[in-house]
Amino acid sequence: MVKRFGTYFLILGLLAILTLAAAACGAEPTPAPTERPTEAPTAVPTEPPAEPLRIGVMESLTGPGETYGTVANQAKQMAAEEINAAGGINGRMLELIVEDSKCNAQDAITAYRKLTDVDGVKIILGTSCSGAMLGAAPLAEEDGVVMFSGLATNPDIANAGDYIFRTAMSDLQLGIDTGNVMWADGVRTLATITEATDYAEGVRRTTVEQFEKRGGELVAEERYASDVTDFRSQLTKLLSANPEGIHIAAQAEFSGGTVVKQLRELGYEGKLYSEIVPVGATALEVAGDAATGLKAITAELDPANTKGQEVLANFRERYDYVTLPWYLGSAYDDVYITAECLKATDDDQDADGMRDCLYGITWSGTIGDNYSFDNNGEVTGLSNVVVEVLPLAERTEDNQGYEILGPAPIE
Amino acid sequence: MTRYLQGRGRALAIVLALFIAAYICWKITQSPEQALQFTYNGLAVGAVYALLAMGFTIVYSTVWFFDLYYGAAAALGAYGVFYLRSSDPLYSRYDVNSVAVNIVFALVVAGVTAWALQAGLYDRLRERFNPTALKAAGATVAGGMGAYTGVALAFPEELYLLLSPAAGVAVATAAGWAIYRIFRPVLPGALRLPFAAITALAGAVLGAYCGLLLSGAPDANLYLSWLVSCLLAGCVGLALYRGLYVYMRERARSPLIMLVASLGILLSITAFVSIVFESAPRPLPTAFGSESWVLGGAFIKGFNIFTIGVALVGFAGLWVLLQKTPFGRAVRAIGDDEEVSKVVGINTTVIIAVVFFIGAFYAAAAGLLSGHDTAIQPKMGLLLLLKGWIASVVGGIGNLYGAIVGGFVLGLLEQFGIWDLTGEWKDAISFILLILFLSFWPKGLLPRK
Repeated sequence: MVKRFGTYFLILGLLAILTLAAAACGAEPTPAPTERPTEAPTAVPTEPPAEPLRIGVMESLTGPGETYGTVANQAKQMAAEEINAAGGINGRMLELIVEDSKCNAQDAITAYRKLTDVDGVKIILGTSCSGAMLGAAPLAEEDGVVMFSGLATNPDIANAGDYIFRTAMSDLQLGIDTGNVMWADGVRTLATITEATDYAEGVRRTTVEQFEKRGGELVAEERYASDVTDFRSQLTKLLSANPEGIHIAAQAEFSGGTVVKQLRELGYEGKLYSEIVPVGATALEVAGDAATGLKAITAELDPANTKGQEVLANFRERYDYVTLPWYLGSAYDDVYITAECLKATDDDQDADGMRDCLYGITWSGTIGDNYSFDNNGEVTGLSNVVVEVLPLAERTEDNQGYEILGPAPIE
Repeated sequence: MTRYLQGRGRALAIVLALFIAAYICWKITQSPEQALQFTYNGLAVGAVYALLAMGFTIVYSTVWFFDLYYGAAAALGAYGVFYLRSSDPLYSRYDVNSVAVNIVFALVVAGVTAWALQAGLYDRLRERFNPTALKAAGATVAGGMGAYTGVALAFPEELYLLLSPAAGVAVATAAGWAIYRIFRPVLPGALRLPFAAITALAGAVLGAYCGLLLSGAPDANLYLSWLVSCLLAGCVGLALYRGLYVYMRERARSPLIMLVASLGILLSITAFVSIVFESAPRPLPTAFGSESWVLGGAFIKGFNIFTIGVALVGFAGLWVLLQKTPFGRAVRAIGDDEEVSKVVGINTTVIIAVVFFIGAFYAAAAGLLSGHDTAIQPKMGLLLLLKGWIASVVGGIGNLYGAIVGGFVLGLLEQFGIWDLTGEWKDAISFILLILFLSFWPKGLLPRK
């Protein structure tokens, strides 16, 4: 009997070791690339290397915002490496410390605490996901830490505080544009399906408000939790109301694409409208041909902007894919804007100097020319466009799978 | 007093059931088209629930404890397919094929093979051959199987080439054995040996043909990945039983301890899956039948019809296995009284191990079918486990007919239940149903006799 239990524990121990080994191997490729810049080769050997300028990066590297959080992080790493390769900021290297905000407030606060308490940073670039941003922003405001997001779009972020900035445009405009596009297309009855998150709810609210203001009627609305993968019962209910158009507000590219796919599987052939997320690369791959004809309001890089095209080409070269190019560019610009301000303050602990510099700066970069920040830290001088998804056969890497129809119609 | 309460409870249950039925009938007359669409949706998810409930039932009615691994088996089945098929262009960003995972599964398969050889053959052959040589041969075969599994998993692209010989050998063995068994009683003794040789030859030819066919089929990888995933999930279930539960059952009389242990296993496997594959939901590559059919004004996807078919075939297979074979009689005997079964000479350890294998196999099938239909995510195991469990409670716990009925009833009620509510209530409705059944109808729709 004793011998038997011996073997039993031996097997258990072996299994445990194997599991640990597997876990360790599996964990390796997960993204946590705290890029430690190599010392500049031009540095004079006798002089000690200058302290790097350390700033935090918070993005949703896992969870529902994984696709765009990852893109944003990669764009920021690329920008930082370019800056360092060009000699850094006043001779000092830029060091990005990355934390995962997982697209929700709770994990964003954990990530924020880690960055400010353990790493002691005063400037944080991020985060994607409005819920995460709204969770961490009050803390940043209280601590006097600058939070600068390229991707969070919820309207409430405008009033989050004096230290909160973003280059992402507010959903307020996004929703108004969507409402107007639907009205201009002749849609008079609308059904909505919305992911139950801060971002998606914000978009839905402003869209429906604008649509109803123009005289349209909301005939059905449904919501879903972020971990749901089968939407057919909700969609069946939407379709039974016979809407002329359906508006999809999704937080995750995956769920956005799946909703589109399942809508078509249920026989819906009418018009589909959405914003940003459902025209991302992953969403279009998931939806396949079902997404054809989907119209979305999104921010799009101006093809005439050479800087933007260059950044996209470099990104593709480096990571072998591109998704949500405008948001990629927005995250990329954030690093350069921060670097410009750091050049003036030359102190990564000077959050007030950074804040004042951001209020005063006018920038021309990847996402547009001569844009600046208003009193709420909101970006001004940028605008949205309407895009329509192309049939599967016409989608290429260069057109991102959709055709730009032009600026959104106004009232 | 008790009897009075029972009577009142029964009356209340009947009133409640009538009320629900009346509500659904009223809704159907309001909008027959939407009702039909809900029915199709309900049958599609119901088929998955039914498969889960069947796997659950066969395990539960044999050992009388809730094996929660079973939910993890569903996730393993779905992620197995993802793992083997992830070289598609869609997933080029995620290179998931990992040596560690392959080694883990190779060890599981080697262990299961070694145990199966030991349990099935060792005692019979020990008297005729040298035990050391037998052990060495067994270890070699087991090691070979493990290595083969590891290699097959490491090259998912070449899976069909690697597996077609195995499939050929399996078909050859099965065919040869079946022909020999059928004709043996009618043959005179002297002819048996040449006949055995002839059947073996016929089996070999058939096996070679099958192997060849498989290696040439363009879609072979998809179906093979289904088979491999289900087998692997089954092997893990069997290994858990033989490596863990057996000792716990010997020592601890309370099934509660095993429940907690299996909960730990469920959570560990879920964590393992999230580490290897990341926690976000992902689609499985499209199988077939992605176009919708219009039947009577409502839409149903071809793949959903296939899923319903799989559930029915799975039910028929399990029914035949349990009712018409010696194995099934042994399973039922163990379910009635394990101690007595042991006394009359049934090798309960082997039989229960096979039951665990079958349960996990069914769960894995349900997981991958649901994955192809909608999507996969690491925590799908827990969600499916709960649904399978509710379905078997609704149908009548421990009853195979109850499992399939319960699965479809749960699927349909979930759909019709949200007619006037928002879709977020769907899961809540399942649990309300569970509470109602546990309170008023604890034996379910079709109680076990």
